[in-house]
Amino acid sequence: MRGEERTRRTRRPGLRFGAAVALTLVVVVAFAVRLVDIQVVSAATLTQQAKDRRALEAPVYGVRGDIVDREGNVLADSVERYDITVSPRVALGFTELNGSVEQALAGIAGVTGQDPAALMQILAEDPQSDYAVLSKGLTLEQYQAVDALDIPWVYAVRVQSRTYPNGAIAGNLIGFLGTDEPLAGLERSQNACLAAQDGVISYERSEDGVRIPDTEVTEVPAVDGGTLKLTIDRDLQWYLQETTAKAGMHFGATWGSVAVVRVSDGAIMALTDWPTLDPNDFQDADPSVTGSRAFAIPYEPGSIMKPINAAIAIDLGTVTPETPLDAPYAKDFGEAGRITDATWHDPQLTVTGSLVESSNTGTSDIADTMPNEPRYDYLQRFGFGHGTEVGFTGESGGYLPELQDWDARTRLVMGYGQAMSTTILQMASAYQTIGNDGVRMPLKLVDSCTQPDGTVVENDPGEPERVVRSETAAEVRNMLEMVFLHNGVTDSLAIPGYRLGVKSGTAEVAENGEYGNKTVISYAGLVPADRPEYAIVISLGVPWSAFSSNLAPYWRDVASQVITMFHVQPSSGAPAEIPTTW
Amino acid sequence: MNATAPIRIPSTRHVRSETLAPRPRRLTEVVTTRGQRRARPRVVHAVTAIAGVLAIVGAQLLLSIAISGGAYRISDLQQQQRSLTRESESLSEQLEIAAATQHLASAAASLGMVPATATSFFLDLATGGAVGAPGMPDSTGCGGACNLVPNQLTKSLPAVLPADGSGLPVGVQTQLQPAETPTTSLGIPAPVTH
Repeated sequence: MRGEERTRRTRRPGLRFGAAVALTLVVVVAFAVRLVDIQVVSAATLTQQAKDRRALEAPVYGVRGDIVDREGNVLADSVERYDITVSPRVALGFTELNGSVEQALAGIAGVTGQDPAALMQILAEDPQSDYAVLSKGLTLEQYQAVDALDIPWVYAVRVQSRTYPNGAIAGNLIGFLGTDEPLAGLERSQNACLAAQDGVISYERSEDGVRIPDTEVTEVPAVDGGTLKLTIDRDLQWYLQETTAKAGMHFGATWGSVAVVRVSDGAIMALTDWPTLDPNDFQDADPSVTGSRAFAIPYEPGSIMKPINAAIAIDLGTVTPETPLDAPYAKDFGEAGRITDATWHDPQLTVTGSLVESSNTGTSDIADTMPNEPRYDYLQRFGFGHGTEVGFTGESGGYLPELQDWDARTRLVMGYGQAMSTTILQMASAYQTIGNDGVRMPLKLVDSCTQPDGTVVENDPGEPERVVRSETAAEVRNMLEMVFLHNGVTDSLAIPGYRLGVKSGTAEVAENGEYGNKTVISYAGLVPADRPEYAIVISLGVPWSAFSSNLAPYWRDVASQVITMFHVQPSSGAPAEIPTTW
Repeated sequence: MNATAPIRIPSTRHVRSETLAPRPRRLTEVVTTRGQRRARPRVVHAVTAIAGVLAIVGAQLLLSIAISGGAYRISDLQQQQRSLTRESESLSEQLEIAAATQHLASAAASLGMVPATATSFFLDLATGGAVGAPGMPDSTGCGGACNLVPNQLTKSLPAVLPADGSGLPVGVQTQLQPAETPTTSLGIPAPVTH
């Protein structure tokens, strides 16, 4: 029996060996299949699953770009702030640790300047809630102070915020941000340059929260915003805002603006609004001042339009600076009705004399010489009736009546800035054209956008456009100098060493279709008149005094500051005299 | 050992032949060759192998400790870098506010400085005289301290020094005393030069 068994076993050794090999092969094949499955077939899925289990995703915030003036002074800055959040449910259960809830809240209130009772109210509002915000917008120092209180149940959340270190300087131009999007000014119109894009990173971390080295993967890179450089000069802007405010308060005006445009390239060096807006405090601001009035609200420019009217007539060849006019104090223009002047003067004025005496009748005579179509074309090329190249949020293009709406009176009164309206920038741009030998430069408020990688994208506002001939522009500048020298307020305007070309304007404000006793007073001019570098316009709305001559010292103050700040060289020589009467 | 007992050889073939043809027993001695002796496993090898394994395991452990120690250190340093960056941003923010034009203007006013009424002077070589660009007399009388161009942020800054300089260090206070300003023959005030 035993021998038989042994014999059977020992007789079939190949079978045993074969079985072992087969078993091994099965196992090897099984492993191989599984290996291919894991490594090749479902590799992607498994990798994703593994990552989902271990990796955490976190947002990375891009930083919104700064807004700087022409010298790089920061006007708008992105900063980090901290919100203090709390779980009321946890907080109210934590009475034993680190003192009572009341003590902790008093500590926080001491840092943030809030009322401890108000903080308690936030907790008590919904005691079962897991989320409430105790305090928003803490600075780093405040956050560190709260952190030092060592309260176990508060959590700080980092948030991005915006500050405007120079306050109301250029505040109306810069605008401000809302919670989700830019709401006004350059913050809004230049958002494409300034806006940042948030990114996402993922990383793996160990059980105790330490990031495992080399596991950080940038899924979507965060892109910072670009730096927006303006043509505005911060210190000039501040000085002119003060001047505008002083003039506005002195005349009891409701609004005031000053515009300074560089003649050579149309760069806006300063553009003020009064009342002003401090973007740090826009929530408390009067909604009527949250935009830029200088861009948004046009007005009838009045007599500062007369030199432009004369320029068009001279360029059309219908008059010369010496052309005699019949310009009495009051004159009947037939179908156009009766037109009167503000002051008495010699009725035998030349075209130049009509500017010096600011004669409406003389200006109407000049306007009467011009055919409508080319004149309309000139006005448009001077920049009237359409928005400037700046494209500011809420910018108005003013009002220039369509040709078919030019009735007999309209075409005359437009010569002295009625029946049409402009913004202060459009007027400054027209004077810039006269100063730049008849070539209008497109206006620019933005100099460039510097992207985070250092690429500078220059603002290209468009092509210069010749509006009037060079000789015409020179003649009009000469006439403006005559106005400065002979208009009776020379002493209030004079800046020793400099030749000036200036025109005043008092525009009646139309209410309910009637011109009443409310006025806008303005001064517009060029410094220096012999080779203009800056066009300067100042306008005050609805002052108690309708005499624009009172504004002369303020125009001079602005011009002096511009001369000093930009090192304008003194003039030489003297203007050629043009007869003002005949 | 029984001399007649059959020798067990684990081969059936040999068993069979033995039963068929028994042979006289021969005394044999198995002598290992030198080569065989040399090939025999030695204790030193085992010790080397085990020590090697232990060393590898130990080194791996140390490396792993070093790596995770490094991870903590990197994490620490990154944290430190972040907080220093924040600190630097916070300080430059404060600097920007302190450098705000409104703050400088009111600080200048509180030190007794007034806006110039003549903003620039030129010597006229033709006449030997001087010409100046007159500015605006300060109608408000408060210099730059009127806050006509408000700034919410500069309000939080510490008050600037009073006009008499009483808050200044003693050495600086004496310098603030108004100096005698002689008038030149041209009628232009000029400071005393040393």
